[in-house]
Amino acid sequence: MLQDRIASLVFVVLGIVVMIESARLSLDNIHNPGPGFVPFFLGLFMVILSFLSLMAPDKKVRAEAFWNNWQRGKSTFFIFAGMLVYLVLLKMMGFYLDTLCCLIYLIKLSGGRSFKRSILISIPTMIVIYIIFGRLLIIPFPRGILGI
Amino acid sequence: MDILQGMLHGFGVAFTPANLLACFFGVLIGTAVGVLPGIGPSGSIALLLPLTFSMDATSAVIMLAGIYYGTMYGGSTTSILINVPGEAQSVITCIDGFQMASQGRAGPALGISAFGSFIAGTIGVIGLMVLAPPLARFALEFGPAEIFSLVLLAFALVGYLASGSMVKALMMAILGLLFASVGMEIITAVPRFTFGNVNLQSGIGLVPLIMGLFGVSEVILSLEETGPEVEINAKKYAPRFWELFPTRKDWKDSFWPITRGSLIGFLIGILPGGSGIVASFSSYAIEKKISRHPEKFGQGTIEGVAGPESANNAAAQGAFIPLLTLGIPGGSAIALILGALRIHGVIPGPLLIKEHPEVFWGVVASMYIGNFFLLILNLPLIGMWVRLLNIPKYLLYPMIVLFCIIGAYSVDNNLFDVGLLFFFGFLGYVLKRLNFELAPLILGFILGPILESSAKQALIMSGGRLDIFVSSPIATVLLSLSGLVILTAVVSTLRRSKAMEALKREMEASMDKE
Repeated sequence: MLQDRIASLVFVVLGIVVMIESARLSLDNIHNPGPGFVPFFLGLFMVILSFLSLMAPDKKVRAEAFWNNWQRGKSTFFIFAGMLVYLVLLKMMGFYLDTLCCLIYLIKLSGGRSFKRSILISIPTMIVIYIIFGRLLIIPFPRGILGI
Repeated sequence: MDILQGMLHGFGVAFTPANLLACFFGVLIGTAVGVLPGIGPSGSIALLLPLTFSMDATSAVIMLAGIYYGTMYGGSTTSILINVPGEAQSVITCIDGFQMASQGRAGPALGISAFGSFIAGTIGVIGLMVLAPPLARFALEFGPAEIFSLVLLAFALVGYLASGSMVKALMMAILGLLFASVGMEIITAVPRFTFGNVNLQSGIGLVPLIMGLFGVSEVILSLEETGPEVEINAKKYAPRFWELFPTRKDWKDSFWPITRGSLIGFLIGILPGGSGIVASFSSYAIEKKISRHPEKFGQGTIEGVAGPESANNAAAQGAFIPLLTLGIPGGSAIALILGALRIHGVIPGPLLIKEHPEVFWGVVASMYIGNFFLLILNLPLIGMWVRLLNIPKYLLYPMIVLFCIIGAYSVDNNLFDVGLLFFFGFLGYVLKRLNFELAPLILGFILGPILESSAKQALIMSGGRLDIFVSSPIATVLLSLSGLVILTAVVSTLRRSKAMEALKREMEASMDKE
């Protein structure tokens, strides 16, 4: 299966990168290992195991590749895109406002029937979150440019 | 402190209002998590971990342990009523459990599942109580070389017992070890793999890693299943309360499967990588093999429910032995409980019973109490659990993500951890879609620092000589066992692939003839 081979290659590259970075940290020797010693060998084992996986791919991998089902891939793409936008805007919008928008978005994406319903569920939820975590447990969530 | 004294002390700790509440809350959540397909014990423990920051160590572990063994009870409800396993370890219960429900015998199936789980859980706790103290005393003989060898054996077993490819399981273990090496190196304090990011100097946090890998990725995988939401008709076979009690014949048929399942499950639970899934499947296979009527398995035989359900509960208790006595977690959920103990400043291991007897004996005693709570929760309240199954996806999953975000942020009040949460969510999603198991990754992450520090300490003690790893009989035996496990796995893989090749050639030959 192609995706299995790609995954193995990615791990080979990861292993090599780890080995290079570890060598920069100083390996010293087995009698007095340096900070890079253990990660270097972990990287080496990763490369060896990845080659083994490349040569004998797992036959139990799910038959369908990522890119075969666009409908499924579409919803996953939108979820991750939403999370990325959430992270980027978190400092600017503040936790409560940004998370409210994220919640509305996720509820709609998860099959919530209308934006109105998503909003009606999200607002009380965020109020409860504010009371429990913001006021009772006093967790200092970031406030955005609006001070919310 | 002998066992009796310890248990009396433990009950004294467990019967405080705070700990009783923690235990009840834990098993309640555990049952709910077990009933609901999608989120497992690891995800729910990760979600509730931040709640335990304001508790003391004993209450925290009592609650988290309650979640863990509580899921073993809850998982059978959906397996029996709607042929959908609530948890992976209840998959095998679907086979005969649902058949019993279709024959109008859902009540005895649920009843024997609950009673069997209670008996097995009790046997498991007794085993934990009896075996843990002498094992802890034995483990006091362990030095760095022995600890290193033991952790290597744990990795070898995790790879051997992996349900998928052993190579992939070991790759995940190494990935976990690599994640664990991010941050300041233990001895020299040199920053490793931080790439100049000051947030990574103290390493990757356990909470964002776990929540991302198990919480966020699981939600995304579940949301990927597109299609209209189907209302689950769990009420179809749901029995009335008086129908839950097994008959005398049911008890007679279930007695030995429950006994065997308890012992098998407990022994498998002790092994790193030995999960409830392995225990329940092993029990089913054994019951079918030794039964006088193996043809009845799959048709609704009560032995096919009693054995596996007992095994997975006993395994849950057995898993606490390596955790509490050696500090070695056997699976991802147990690794999280280890993480919780560390966050509270309690280091599980051979000295736990001596230095924190209230934690050890309190948790053991709470397991007795928890098992009683679970019996009460799972029998009379079946109707309530059935209603839980109809919580819409669009409510449940966004809330899980929301709690993951709050949980990840609240550990250090650091937005970077939220970024890590989503990174591991994405990584967990990709790895699961590529059929990589995540439990070895968690084990690698948790055990990585122990492996590295014990190796380095051993080398410092021996002045750099490698023979320290074979100088003690314990270390030599453990290393030999690791080698044996790896060799066995390699040989059985080669035999399996040769058998597959031979079968393939046979099939091609017979197709050519046709």
